[in-house]
Amino acid sequence: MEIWQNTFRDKLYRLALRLLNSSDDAADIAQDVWLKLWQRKEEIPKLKNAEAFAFTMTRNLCLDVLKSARLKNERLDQKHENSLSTSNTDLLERNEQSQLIHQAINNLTEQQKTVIHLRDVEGYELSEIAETLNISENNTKVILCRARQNVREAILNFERHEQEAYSGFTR
Amino acid sequence: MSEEMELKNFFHKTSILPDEWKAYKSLFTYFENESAKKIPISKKTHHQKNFWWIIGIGLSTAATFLLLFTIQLPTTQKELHPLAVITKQHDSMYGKSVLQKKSETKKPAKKEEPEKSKPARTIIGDHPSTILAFKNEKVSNSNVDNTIRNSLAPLDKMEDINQALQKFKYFDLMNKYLPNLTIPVIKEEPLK
Repeated sequence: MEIWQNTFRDKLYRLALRLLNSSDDAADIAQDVWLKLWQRKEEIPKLKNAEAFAFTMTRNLCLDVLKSARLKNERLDQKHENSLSTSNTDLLERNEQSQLIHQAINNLTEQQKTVIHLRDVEGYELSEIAETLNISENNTKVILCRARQNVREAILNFERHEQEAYSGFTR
Repeated sequence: MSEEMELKNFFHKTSILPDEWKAYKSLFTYFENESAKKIPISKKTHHQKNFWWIIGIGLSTAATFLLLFTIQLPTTQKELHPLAVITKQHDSMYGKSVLQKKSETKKPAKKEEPEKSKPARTIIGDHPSTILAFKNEKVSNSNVDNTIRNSLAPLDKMEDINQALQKFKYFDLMNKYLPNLTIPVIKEEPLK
């Protein structure tokens, strides 16, 4: 039970991290959601899908954080930029491709981010994701397809630029 | 879902891939790495944060007080000019305290009489222990003598001490020229 709790809390944290790009804020959100779930523990067995409910709560809280204060958003952007700039120095040491994928996913819309995260990182079914986002399954499939397409295009564009740069260098 | 799992396993296991597929391998690797992320456990508790916060406030307050005291102390300890000390002595001798004089000076200008009430002071005598007296003030000779005598009293004591030490002045010479001389013990008789 405890292992499940920890893993599920990690899942909430990862989703919040995906949406907020801030480790501290994501941890706070995960803790808040966990606390709210604990306070409503008597209602949880009545729910059809508790995990989807928790993910919905996490997503809503993250969106609240993003929307509530413009300053907060700027701070988060700053943090994100800082993290990118610092990680740029490690770009040669770390996997360049994974960095590119990270950026490509971060450039997606909130909905696309959530869908691709829940599907490809957490491995949830489309029906569960649809329930979390309160949309139809077909709609979820379309969103996922577009999100993957955008990521693929970002990767292909990067490779094309790299090849052009390499060919220009050899000439 | 099963197809996705197959693809995932394929890219996970296969190491030799064509260049155009390498991006997909890194994509699946990225997803795997992301799924392994865990919530960070902050070691600092609220109690610890509060503790350091209180200590910081305490130290800053103490430093502020210390700074204030060090700034104020030199201003309170003013050394009086020797002339002012003598003036004080004079005033006390004539039964006037310094505070009274101050209060007199604070009186409004209307009530104060013209310069008659404020006579200029003159210095009597050349010795450092001279006193200041008002121009029109009658200073009795006995008072002046007493003041001078009191101020010279320490010098008289010094003369006594010098006389007492006069005995020992020749000890060095005796030690130098008569090293083997034994001095007989003289019994001191009580003074009459």
